[in-house]
Amino acid sequence: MGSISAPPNIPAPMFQDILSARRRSNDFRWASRPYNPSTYFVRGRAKEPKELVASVLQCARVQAVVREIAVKEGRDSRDVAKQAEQILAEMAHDYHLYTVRWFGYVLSKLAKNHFSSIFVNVQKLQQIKDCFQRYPVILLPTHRSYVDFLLLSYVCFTFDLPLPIIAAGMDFMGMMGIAELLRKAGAFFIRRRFGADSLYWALISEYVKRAVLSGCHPMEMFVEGTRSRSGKSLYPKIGLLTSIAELVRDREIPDVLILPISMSYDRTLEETLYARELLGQPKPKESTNGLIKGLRWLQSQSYGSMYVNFGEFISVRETLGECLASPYVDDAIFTKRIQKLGLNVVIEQQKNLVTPLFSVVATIVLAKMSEGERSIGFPKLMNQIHGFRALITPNGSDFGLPLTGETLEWNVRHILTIHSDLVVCPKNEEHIVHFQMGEDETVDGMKFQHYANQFVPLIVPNALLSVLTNSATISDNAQRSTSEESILKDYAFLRELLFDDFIYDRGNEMLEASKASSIFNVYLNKGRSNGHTSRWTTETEEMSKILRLSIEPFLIAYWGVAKTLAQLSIQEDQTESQIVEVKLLGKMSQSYIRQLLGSHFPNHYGALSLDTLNNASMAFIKLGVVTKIKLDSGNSFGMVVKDSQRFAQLIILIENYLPLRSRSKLNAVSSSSVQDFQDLSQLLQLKAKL
Amino acid sequence: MSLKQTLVSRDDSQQPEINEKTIAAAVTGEESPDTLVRKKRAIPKKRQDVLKWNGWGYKDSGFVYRDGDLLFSGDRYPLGNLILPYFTNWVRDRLGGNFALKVESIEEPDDTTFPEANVTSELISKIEEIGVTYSVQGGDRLFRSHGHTLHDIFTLRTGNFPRIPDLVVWPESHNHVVAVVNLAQTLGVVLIPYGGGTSVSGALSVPENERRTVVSLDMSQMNRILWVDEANLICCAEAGIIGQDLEGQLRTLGFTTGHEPDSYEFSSLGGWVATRASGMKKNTYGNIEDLLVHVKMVTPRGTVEKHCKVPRISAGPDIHHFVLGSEGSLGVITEVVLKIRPLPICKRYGSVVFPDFASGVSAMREVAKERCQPASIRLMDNEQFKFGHSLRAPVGFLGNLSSAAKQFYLTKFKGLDLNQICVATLLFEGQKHEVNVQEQRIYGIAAKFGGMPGGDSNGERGYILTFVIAYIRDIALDYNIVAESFETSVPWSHTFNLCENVKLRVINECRARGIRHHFITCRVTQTYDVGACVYFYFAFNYAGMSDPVRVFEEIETTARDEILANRGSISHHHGIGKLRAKWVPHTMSQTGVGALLHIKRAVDPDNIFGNGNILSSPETMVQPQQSQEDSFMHSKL
Repeated sequence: MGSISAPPNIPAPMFQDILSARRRSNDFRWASRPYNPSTYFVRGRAKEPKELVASVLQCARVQAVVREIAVKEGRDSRDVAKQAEQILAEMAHDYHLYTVRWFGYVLSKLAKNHFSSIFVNVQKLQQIKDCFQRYPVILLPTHRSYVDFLLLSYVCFTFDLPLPIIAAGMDFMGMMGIAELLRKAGAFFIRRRFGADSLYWALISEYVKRAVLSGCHPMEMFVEGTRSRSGKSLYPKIGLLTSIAELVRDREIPDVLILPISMSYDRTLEETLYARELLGQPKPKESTNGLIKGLRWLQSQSYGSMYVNFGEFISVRETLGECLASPYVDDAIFTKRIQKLGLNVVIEQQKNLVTPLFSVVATIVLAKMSEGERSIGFPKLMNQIHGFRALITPNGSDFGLPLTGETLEWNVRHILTIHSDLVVCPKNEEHIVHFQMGEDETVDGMKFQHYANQFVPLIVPNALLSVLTNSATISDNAQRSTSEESILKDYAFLRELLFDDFIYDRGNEMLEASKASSIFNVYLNKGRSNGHTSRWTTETEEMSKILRLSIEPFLIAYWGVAKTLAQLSIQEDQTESQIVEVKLLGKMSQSYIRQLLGSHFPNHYGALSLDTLNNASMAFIKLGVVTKIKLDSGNSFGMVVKDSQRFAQLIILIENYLPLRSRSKLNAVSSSSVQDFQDLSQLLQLKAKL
Repeated sequence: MSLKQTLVSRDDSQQPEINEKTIAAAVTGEESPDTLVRKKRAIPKKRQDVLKWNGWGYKDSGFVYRDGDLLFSGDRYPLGNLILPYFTNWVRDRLGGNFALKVESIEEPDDTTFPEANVTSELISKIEEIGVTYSVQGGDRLFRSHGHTLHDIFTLRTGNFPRIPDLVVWPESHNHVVAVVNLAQTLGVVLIPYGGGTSVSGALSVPENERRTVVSLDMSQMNRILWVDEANLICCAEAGIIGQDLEGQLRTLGFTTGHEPDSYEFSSLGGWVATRASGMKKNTYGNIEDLLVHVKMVTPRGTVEKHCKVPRISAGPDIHHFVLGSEGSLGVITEVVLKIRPLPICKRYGSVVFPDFASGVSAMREVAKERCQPASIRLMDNEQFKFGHSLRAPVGFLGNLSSAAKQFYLTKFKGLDLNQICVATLLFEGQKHEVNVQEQRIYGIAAKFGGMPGGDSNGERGYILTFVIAYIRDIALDYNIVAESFETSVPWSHTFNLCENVKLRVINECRARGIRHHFITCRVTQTYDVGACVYFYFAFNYAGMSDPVRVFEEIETTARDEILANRGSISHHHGIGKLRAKWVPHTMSQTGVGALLHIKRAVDPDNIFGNGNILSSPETMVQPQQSQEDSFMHSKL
């Protein structure tokens, strides 16, 4: 066993399991109890849902847009006003307490059947109640599952907090009955794409503002815009946040407080769907039928625990800062501040996330899998888990332990049974953990990646250092310097390159790297001083390798996109450059990488994630080597290499860190793979020109 | 010669200048206006004989706690000698007032306890040569070392000011002032003009690091109306005359200036001009800048004045506009010519009850849009309505019954929420038929916003309370409560939000500091085409707090920041003084600050009028391209 004795494995006492109380008393009585929510901010008199809608229609901005459109499109303004009314009818929530009570009852039943606990950080509740009285509060939870908003409302109901109204995507509108049910539970619906529709934008923006000021409910929205399929934080969307910040900029209110909330699950309900989506298999449309089927399937499953943690409140006023000192606020500065606000929220969410225990298991499993292994010894697994835990706890992170008061080992055993479709410890050989592989290995790999992605962000600094100091690739590259200075320089480069995949607080790269390495060194020395020198060395080397392997899928993906784009621009006529649509580029890169896995690279299925491939495209645009071109058709855009010399350098730079098994053969494969693109190239959009 | 001498009392027989008034008399054909001068004055030369040395107003008036209830002493005010049980309860409930724990003020300091006056015998002999009375007595100097900010009064009650004037002089004519200013320039002495002493901006406090001798120029003895010109409806008065004396004397002649700031019992004509004062009835009569026809200001470089008294002039930038609002930092105002109006035939009060503050503000906006404001229209928020309501004497059973019936009618019949309603108070002045028409229009507009007439007694109470409210702070300080008012002007588009936001911000700043009992309320006191004036009262219970004034100032600063963020101004009529100097560059641009500095240099290069108002803050000093000249100027200011 590991020489580090684990601390008592109890989730910090600040967490309380709210399901345990549900198991002790009657759900119906509980759901129909007198519910007196704590006081919540309201400007003037609280407005009913209908009044909110009326006030939006009457407000000056909406009226102006209605007139504008009537003039522009030569329509009767009453006609446009009618359209506005319809849009609002589709959008508006219609909160009723009885629906919440119904949900409270049903969710109690469901949760008790399929989840062992719901852990909530109760130490924060008093502060939340205080802040609810002071200013409007926006709840910004992480979004990893449809369960998120049900869970948060359930938590609020449990603790007599005012229930949030929720900004939801229109996906649910296809679900007969469900949409109306959610609407009555406080959800309001926003179309996914409305581009330059000024009427829609005015309506949603004003609706959000009026609801925040006079709706008498906190508002919940998802800063990531959609559920994160990958399990990592997504780059924040700032549309609705802008409306919120405008409330403060235009001084409709002195401040709005933002509460980042981190919610995590031992097992994600949508794990298979996500894996398929990330591989490019289309997402099934939300339907009530599908939901019922899903629920039936769910009957047989167990999902472990859920964890709800609250971050520090963020003041919009303070974030906007001197931006507000002048009534003539520069729009560009304003937008920058909101982007920063969005990033700060995501960083705060990450910081407070209770890391699911299976995420570290998945990280270790993926490392083994990439090397073709199909099992790992349980003691070895435990050693590694202890090791990784020692890396993350100094930064205030920790794993969520579903079995309060039990040892880490027991919790790992428990977590393995919850994920029995991915890992199995057979009855006769409990010391071996077998990886379950179905017919499509990539789907299983992607499922593991979904969990690993919830752990990797915590160890990115160590992982990058591990890549940068890896003796294998160094010996391969004569030109690479190993001086501390150049390592730190490369470190900062990679950190920035991978920013969209691993969002972090920019500007502290050096500090972060040195902190990470010192934590690792402390861990190393602790083991040595305990006198297990030789075994310790192999273990830490192993850990170092897992660290490196954990980040490699991302490097491969970035490299693959760059390589694909470079090839496309070479084969085309330079004078009339073709522009590849960004999503298509992702798919092409995916198929390119798929060919190389196993042969040229280890089996890093994570490199096939469309999410990461898309992030890579964005990163190249931000680096300025690739230009984004708006395509004539639709909302999408294309990519064109702007600076081919720098782009080639970039490819070499990334290539330096890749675990290439055979560098020499690669070019041949690459050029032959161009042939494979021929059919795909026909799909290339030709319309846009440079 | 001993510098610690007693007040030298001089004969009041000095002859006033007569050239102007004789001209005026010739024009109007009236009898000698000498009857106007030397009337009985409300405040004596030794002010502390009648006024509180450490609080607001008359010694014989104020709130006292006696036998379990608060009452208002003296009979100067309509509230006089009435027991106020509702107010007593309001203080207990709303502000956690504990009448068992009284915080006594220190005793009025003995004249021997003050730092010795920094005056040379040369200065004294030259002053005597000029022939103005003077005093180096501690009590006289202390009285003129402060205004009426919370900081000022709290300091008076608990300790010492770091610096008080060294000498008080009482000029009695424009020529006296010219002589004193010349003397100050020659000897390098600082002059701080002192009018009514009602400043709430720190304008009267002596800059702490001032090493030169500081002379308080008390203008109270320049208190004559010099002439009245009925043909042109203007009058000329010396700058030291206080509002009630000016109005009282004009009234006997059938006239009024119509200028009625809340402080008008004590504040002076020169002070109004120097701070750009605003009167309650500005809708009918205009603010001080509208009333002002001519002004004389004595500076170290001579007297600034126009040589005509015309309704309007196009003659380059108007020099009146650097006199107005100069706050004694450029010179001292000696004589002012103001418009006057015949006394109104009809004066009527009224009030309107609105369902909530938002509808009240909308109605005010509409009234301004229609330009049909009566002499005064003010909108109190719900808190202030409740507070004002508590300031009443108990009435008999029938009175209670009728108020209960009123309440029932409002809440049950009209569906109003007593925790939301707000009240507008109205004052109509003019010919009877004019007043009738005005009333009709106002009530018509109010009805559009859900407002209904609330009776004239409610309106009258509102205006009567205006003068009494200033006395509340003194009793508050007796029981661990600090209080202060502040004001701003704001465009209509932001008026409602500014009111709500400032209150919310202040409440949250209090909560964040663990202050349990706090009270913030506002009223819209003036309406204009473009926007409104908003007036806030803020108080909190500081029991258990070591430095309440610092905490208060911190919160007031965030409130002002909030006001500016809400597109409000640095001040509507209180002025800058030292309290608000830090927001000056933001308010008028660095270039504007530079221009003002150059005016200062032109009229007072040696900073004789060194009270440090308006431009003395560190923020003003930070200029992007500061020339050497400028930094020289800063060191002087």
